[in-house]
Amino acid sequence: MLEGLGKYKIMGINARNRDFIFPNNRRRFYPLVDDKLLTKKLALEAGIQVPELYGVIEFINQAGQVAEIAAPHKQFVIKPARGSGGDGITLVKDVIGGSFQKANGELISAGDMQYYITNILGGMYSMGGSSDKAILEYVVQFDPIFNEITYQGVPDIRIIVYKGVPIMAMLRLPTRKSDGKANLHKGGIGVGIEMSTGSTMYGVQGSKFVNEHPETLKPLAGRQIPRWPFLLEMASKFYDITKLGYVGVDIVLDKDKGPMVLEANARPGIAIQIANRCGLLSRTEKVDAVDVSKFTLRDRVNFALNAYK
Amino acid sequence: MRSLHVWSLALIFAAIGFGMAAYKHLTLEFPLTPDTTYKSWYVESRVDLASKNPWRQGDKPIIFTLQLPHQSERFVLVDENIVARGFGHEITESDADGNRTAVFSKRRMDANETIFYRAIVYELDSPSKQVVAAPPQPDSSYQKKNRPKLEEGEKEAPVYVAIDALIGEAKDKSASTKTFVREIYRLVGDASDDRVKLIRDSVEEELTDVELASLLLQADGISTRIAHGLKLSEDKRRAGTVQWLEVFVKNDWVGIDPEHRSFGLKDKYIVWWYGDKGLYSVEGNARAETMIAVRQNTNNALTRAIWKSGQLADLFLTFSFYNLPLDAQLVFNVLLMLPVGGLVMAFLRQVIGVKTFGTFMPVLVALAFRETGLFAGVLLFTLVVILGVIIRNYFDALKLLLVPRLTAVLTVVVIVLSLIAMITNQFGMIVGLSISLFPIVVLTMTIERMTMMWEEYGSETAIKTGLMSMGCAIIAYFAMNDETLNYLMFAFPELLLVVLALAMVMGRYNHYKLTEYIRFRQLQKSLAALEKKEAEKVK
Repeated sequence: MLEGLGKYKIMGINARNRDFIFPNNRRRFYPLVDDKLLTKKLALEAGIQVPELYGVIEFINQAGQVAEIAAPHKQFVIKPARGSGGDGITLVKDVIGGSFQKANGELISAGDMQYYITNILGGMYSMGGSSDKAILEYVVQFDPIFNEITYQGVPDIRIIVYKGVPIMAMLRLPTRKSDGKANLHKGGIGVGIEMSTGSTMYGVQGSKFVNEHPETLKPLAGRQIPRWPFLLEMASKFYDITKLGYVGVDIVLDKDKGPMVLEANARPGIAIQIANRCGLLSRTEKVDAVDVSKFTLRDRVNFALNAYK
Repeated sequence: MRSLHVWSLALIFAAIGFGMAAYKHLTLEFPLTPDTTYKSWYVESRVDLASKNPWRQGDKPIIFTLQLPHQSERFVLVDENIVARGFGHEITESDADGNRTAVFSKRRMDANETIFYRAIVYELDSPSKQVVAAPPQPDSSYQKKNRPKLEEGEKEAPVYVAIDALIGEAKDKSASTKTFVREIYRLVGDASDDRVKLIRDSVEEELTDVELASLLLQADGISTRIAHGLKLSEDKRRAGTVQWLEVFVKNDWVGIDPEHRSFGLKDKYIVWWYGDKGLYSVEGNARAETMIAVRQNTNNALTRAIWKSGQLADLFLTFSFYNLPLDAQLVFNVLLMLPVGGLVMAFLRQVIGVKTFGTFMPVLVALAFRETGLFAGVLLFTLVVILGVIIRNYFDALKLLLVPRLTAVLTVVVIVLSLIAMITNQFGMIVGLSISLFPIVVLTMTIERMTMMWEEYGSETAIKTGLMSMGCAIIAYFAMNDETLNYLMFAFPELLLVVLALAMVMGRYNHYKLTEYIRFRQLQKSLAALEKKEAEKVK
């Protein structure tokens, strides 16, 4: 059993950190993805679509302004600017009177909301516990193609980009267990995506394989993700703006506005291998076998579409 | 490239660390376990002097000369002292035979006098070899060249004939110096042999076997010396000195065991003096009687090592923790274990893949367990964390800001600990004082992290991580509380370099964590199944 992981070229956390993150992600570029406000700004400059920013709460005395900022929008997402792993994100689907209704129907009173904001500002969810900002942004109206396999929340597509080349992707689906979040370690489902076609393959929840969504009971496999090459291009472009050689880019599909980048992650998880039934090392090897440094954006996308069959 | 760098650096560190430790162990004899003991011997010679003619005393000064034991490769004299009230005394350094003597003198002697000589003898585990100077060629009157010249027709004196006959017989039966010596010894031991009788009779004093063997060997031109010494084997109030022969073979003096009559001293003998003199001599109007007592002591090996390196004025002792004040020693005793705990954590996290609250939290908790004891520590930890989580949630409901809330939780933790201390004190338990070292801030952060995890990831993850943290703390506790390890780190602080080397190597570990084998078990199975299918298709 012990030699199997290497045989199938599965990437472990230690190898990810030592062989991929250390050499390819320079520390000074981390803030570009760790601070979601900065990521948003960079993406916009590079012509990548992101969820519209409604407002930023920086100081405790502004904590009460949530309703004010949210007034024209009704629906919004609150997240810590420097949060990690989906911690501290709340999706408000309606403002009823003074209180806010969460995606699962729960109501948050104005006071609770204010307290939640102060916790974000105090750094409860931020990496290293430093003080933080709260971001209010557009709630993605996700593409109905995922309606059948989503439960309260926004599904997103995680694409791992190595040296600018997309190497692996998965669709992440919220479940009842994950409380509207798509993060795998919170109970979301990961569905592997065939790189050459953009259609979904197998699903995984936790470390178990699943074939259908536990709540909707609809099959997960065989769903085509629209505009797949364009998504790859978006992800690949992130390499140019962040200079991070090993990065996970999270993309959502909005039914009206099209694909947009939610955030990027300089330490993307390795569970994606289970969803794809494929070791990441087999993909990185293919990239390392060619000199990708002279590749144009188009070359990189084409490589991703053709290399892993 | 980078790996090579790290590995070579780690190797150098480890080599220096182990090298220094090995030097200290082998040369300075720092023991490897704290309770290594070794034997030392307490040797005392008591001399009772009595006036021969009490009424005639005072006309002549008394001079009493006592031989003193020798320092050797194997035995070190540590603490020598002399008690001789009223006597002037002087210790003469080694004479031609290497003997040391103490000379006591007194003008007027009382009826009875007692002189004590005491020494503590350390036995070294690894005797240090010394180069021995070659003795001068023996110049015995029995040697052929020194014998009176024979006139024409005159016959050799019978004693010479006997000597030559014995030497000749021994030579015939032997091939080397050693076997020759053994053969001589054998011949000498046969009291019924006429030749032996003859030699004994012709010599004025009575000869022991050893002396006779020495005489024969010297007659053949072999350097010998007669050693008088003490057998250090058991406690004895009246230990007699024994005599043995030492022969100079192959640039070294080799003793012949007085009991086994074989080459090399089999038992522990300490040399007291060499030569044919006695243990003591008296000049003047007195009779003397000596008594040698031997007592065995068991000492801590470390004490001896420290003493020994002090004798050598060793650098390692000057820069050792044992020279620090005692309270500083206690601090470092704990401090030195921190890297060990850290290493355990690094291993658990990097190689096993355990998840804990905070990187070094379990190490700090384990440190606290050292003070409280494991059982009480685990109980306290669990109690405080559970109470803390409840109270923290209550403060959360009051909507306190983050940092002040942490302060509030911290305060409550201190209050809870104080109460526990007071209550347990009432029941006569002594956990009270020791929990003062409980890492309160660490506990507070644990409470906060655990609550957050509870909210974000659910109770299962939070409790699981909590238990794992506790498990890590217990493992770290066992590593850090290991008495031998503790002692080793303190006596050989250079082992920190080895810890450093291990940490560096672990820092370059890029293999799978043990937990990943479990995590990817399903994936591995399905990949194997897929492979099988492919293979069947090809067929």
